[in-house]
Amino acid sequence: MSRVSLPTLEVRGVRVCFGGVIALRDVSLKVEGGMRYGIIGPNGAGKTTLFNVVTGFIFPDRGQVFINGTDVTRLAPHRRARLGLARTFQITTLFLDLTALENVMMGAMVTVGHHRSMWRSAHLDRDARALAEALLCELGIGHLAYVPVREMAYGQQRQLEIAVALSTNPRILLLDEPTAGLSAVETRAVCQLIRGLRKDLTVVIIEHDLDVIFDLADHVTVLHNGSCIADGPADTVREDPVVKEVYLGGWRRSGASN
Amino acid sequence: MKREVALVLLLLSFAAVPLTGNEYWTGLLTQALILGGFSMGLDILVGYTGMPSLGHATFFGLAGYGTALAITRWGIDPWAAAGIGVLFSSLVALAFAPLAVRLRGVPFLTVTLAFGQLTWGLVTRWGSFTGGENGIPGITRPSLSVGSWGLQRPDGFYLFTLAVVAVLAFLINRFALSPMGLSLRGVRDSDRRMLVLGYSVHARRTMAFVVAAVAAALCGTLSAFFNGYIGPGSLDWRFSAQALLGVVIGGAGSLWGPFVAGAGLHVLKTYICGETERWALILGVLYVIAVVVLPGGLASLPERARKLKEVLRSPTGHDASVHKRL
Repeated sequence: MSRVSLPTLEVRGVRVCFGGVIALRDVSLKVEGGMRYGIIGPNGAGKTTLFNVVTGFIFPDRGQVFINGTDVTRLAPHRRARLGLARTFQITTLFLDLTALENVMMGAMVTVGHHRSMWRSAHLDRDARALAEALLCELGIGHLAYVPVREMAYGQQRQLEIAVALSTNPRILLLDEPTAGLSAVETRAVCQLIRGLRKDLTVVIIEHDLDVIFDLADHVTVLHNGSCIADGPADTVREDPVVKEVYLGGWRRSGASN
Repeated sequence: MKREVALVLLLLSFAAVPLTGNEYWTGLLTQALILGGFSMGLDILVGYTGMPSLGHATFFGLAGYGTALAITRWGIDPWAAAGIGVLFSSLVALAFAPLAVRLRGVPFLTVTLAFGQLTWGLVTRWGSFTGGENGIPGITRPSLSVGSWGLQRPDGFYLFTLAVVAVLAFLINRFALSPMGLSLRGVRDSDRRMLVLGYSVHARRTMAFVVAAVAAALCGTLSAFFNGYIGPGSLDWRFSAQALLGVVIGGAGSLWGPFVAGAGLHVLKTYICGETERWALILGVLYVIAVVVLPGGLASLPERARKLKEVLRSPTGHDASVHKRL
């Protein structure tokens, strides 16, 4: 029921300018609860900027952002996170000097409400630790719990990034190019992982890899030069002549830059 | 368990120092303990949270001045005066922190230095109230006596200092290992990640700043009682630099390293100042040596020793990668 009636994330007429350059031109999108929502577009189309607007790192010049119907356009990033919004970054953003377990515990401590404690021992915190260990195992990197992130392989770091994002028990997850820089095998593993995510979790994915996006997403928005040029169910968008011409065609001609 | 036993033994051996009857040593060690605690507190800010402050002596000095003024100007009981001094200094930190924590790296360092200089300037110029360059003498120690034995005696005050610093060190360690302490390391590594996890980075950085300031304030008050005097030297930026060097030489983020280095630097300074006036030069050379030869500080020594042992024990007798790091 609520999956249909409750839009969990909505962007309405958002415009962002950097100096004189328009990065996002009146972009709107509506992500319903439990959706797998894909955003594609060439480099510089404004995909990551859109994520930054949604998570609060950039305030838009015009337009609004709603989470569960609440206007969060001017809310600080950490307050939006508390509303159940989580994200990964295109450039791996983890705590390099900490272990994988500590990385995931950082969010788990918030989930169990112990993040303000100054007295209990973080490592002996049974609740947060159980949650973090379960997450690491679920994502198939349980054996790396005590390895400092600095010493982990890139592909493992990308997986950990998703584990960390999930550690706050979010309701909306934004994935910014989760397979960027991964090998074919690793890409398959990450896709598998994303497909296995809780069904009530709303997932928005930015991707360069079209196979990945059409494999995972049931709804796709195409961004081009900061504008939304197509939007609809994945199958429809794939066959859209405008998209084929402007985006997919251009993509093939440019020789798959990624 | 082994760790706890070792700590108790260490504490007991420190407590036994006055038995030697050497008042000079007892006095030197009192001050060394205070400065060790000062550097250890600063490590929460510098090592844990990654905010290098060059003005932390401000909170050491202000607590001393607060205590001194309360006792000498208003005749307040030394115990209460100590509370006033620590509280005053902590509140100044709390007021200044929200401004400072918006900056990072060199701008943060610069603004803490500027704030320290401002305070130093104010205290030295406002001679009628603060004693100016002469400082404030005549700070009486609080009374706590058991028979003929009390805080007025060097050994009594030494033991008191040891107890306070031990409790402070315990609390700092506890804080560092708590979820709050872990989150500070998170802020140091990636504030973007912390924000999307729902942490207010400014609040966490403010917390680190204030905790380090409270530790400094406690040590500053102890120091004022020990010397019976507080002067503008306690607010000097070179004093801040010495504490910061203690953190670097000891190994940022290890807590015990900065404690040992902070205490050791004071002992060294006392000896060197007896011989030459080039303390600043020697401090600089020490800093360069620490950064070049021992990047991880004193705290990296056990790990290095372990690796060296491994190399010596390995059948080939050498391991290129380990040798390189050693």
